[in-house]
Amino acid sequence: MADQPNTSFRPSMNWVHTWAGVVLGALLFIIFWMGTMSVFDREIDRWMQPQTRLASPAAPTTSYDSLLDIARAAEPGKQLTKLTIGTANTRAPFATIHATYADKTRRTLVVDTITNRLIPEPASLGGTGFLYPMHINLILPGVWGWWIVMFAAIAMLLLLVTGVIIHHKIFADFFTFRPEKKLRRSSLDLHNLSGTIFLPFHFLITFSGLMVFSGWYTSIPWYVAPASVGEPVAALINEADQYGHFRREAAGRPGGGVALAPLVQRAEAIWRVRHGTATPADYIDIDHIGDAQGYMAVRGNAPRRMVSDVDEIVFDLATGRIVKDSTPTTTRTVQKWLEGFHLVRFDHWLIRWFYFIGGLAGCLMIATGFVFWSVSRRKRDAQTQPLKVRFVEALTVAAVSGVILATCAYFVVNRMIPEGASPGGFPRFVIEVLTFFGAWLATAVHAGVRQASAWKDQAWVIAGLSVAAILLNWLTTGHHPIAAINRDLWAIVGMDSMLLLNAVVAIYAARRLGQSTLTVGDAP
Amino acid sequence: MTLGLLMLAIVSALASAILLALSQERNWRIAYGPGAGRRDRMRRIGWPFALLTFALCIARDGASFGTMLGLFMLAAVFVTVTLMLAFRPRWLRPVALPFALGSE
Repeated sequence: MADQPNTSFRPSMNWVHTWAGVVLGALLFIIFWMGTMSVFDREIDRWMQPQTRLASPAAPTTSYDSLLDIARAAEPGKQLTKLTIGTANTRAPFATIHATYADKTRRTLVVDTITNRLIPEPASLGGTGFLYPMHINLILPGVWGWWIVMFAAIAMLLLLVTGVIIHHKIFADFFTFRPEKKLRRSSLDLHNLSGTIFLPFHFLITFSGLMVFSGWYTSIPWYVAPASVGEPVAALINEADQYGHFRREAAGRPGGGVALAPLVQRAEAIWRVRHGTATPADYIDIDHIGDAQGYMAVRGNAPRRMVSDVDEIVFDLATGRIVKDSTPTTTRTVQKWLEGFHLVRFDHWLIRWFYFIGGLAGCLMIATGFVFWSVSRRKRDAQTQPLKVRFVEALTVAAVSGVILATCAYFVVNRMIPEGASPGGFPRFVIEVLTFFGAWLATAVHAGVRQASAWKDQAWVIAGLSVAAILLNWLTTGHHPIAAINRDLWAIVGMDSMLLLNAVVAIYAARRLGQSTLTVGDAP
Repeated sequence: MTLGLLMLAIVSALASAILLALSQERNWRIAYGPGAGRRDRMRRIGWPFALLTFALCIARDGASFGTMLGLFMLAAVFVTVTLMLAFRPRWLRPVALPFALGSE
């Protein structure tokens, strides 16, 4: 842990690991925490948007043509030009439609595919609308958030590699956790343990996260793939449309009108033969509706394959003929495998839970790395550089327990404000987001004032908020855990049990912190 | 069938993690006490059990999901065994017994 860069190899890697960790740890924790939440983003949606707690459709088939009618009826008198459909599946048992009209009006519609009726658009962003965007771009305007998260991912790879280099005995770390030792030692044990055991997952999840947007990075205007990268790669990244989606201009004369459902079924039949497994359409993109050049792109996703939706079949809507049937290059299949690995859209509940655990292990690794740094520094620097120590400690508390607390507050306020209410003139989803950031800011101020006692205080608040969220969900929807089990609402069962577990862990942490003889300025 | 394979995979992963943990001197002392175990033998049995875990997971879920499931499962049992060593080390004693060296 040298302050000055040491020129020999291992100490210099140690220096990089320490300082990259201290400077970027808070950001990395937020990204890891939000990513972990995003593993269950649809389930969080069901919890925060009770009107979407529908029975899973037996088959994802929809009368796609009636969705066109629903979109037309939503804006009477306007001409519907473009429609994208996210089909119903077990995790999101309804179709989500984005409709664009001739006058550029855009509408998002949620349709119960069993009754073919509109579900009122939920006044909550839920997991997919807020926690997931926080994970991918911190909801910063423009491209800034994307770049920051991308650099954070590169820094994470750097931290993982330097972390491996500075460890002498990787394998011994596998089984070493000594809770009875001093905080400095036991936090380092936890840091090493979570870091080594989940190293393959952490490395692959970070790398695949970078690769999901590989097309986007190389679409930077000044970037031209050098010839040296080889032809297939160059062809891929110089492709006009990085994601290879079909596009064509409107003809300006009326046409189209072929029934959609048989075309979607045809695409699904082709994929079933090609992959030997059911591959339902999961995303449908219809453009130039009512125009002679109208087309429909159908993308499929086999829920039992790792690779994400690499299949795309495009139909001409005037004739019903296939105009494009994608045969991905090897490079693109690899990219799609990494994307599929990262986006977890496959249907494998055991692995989905392991992603959640692996994500939490990442959070633990980052948090304990911070604690180790603070505790190591406290004795040495508390006299000479009190502000530096105090600042990093407050940053740690705000980034770790503050983000967890703000997430719990986000859940609680969702269940406190009735659907459709707009206190102070703000719709509920705005209040929810403001609550998140307000609570987060408050934890930062609180951490600055209370210093390390802030851990204990905030742990109690987290426990209280978690229990409140469970009770409020019961009060406002009647879906207490037993009722949820009876109705097969497994998303609600899972969400409530995780909130309960969160409360138990927080109470345990708060009590341990309360009993400990640590002086003010000590972390958990 | 798939549940059976899953159970076998968990047992195999646990066997692997416990044996590999006990093959380290520090962990042996914590779980069993003074003396030493037959370290080589524990390693020679522990590693094949890790491979068997992967084989069972792949048999259950195919190459892609199976490899991932195997990795995650080993990670999970390694955490479990580490926590047992930290809080309930004596629970590992029965596994250690057959590998204890006679007189010590």
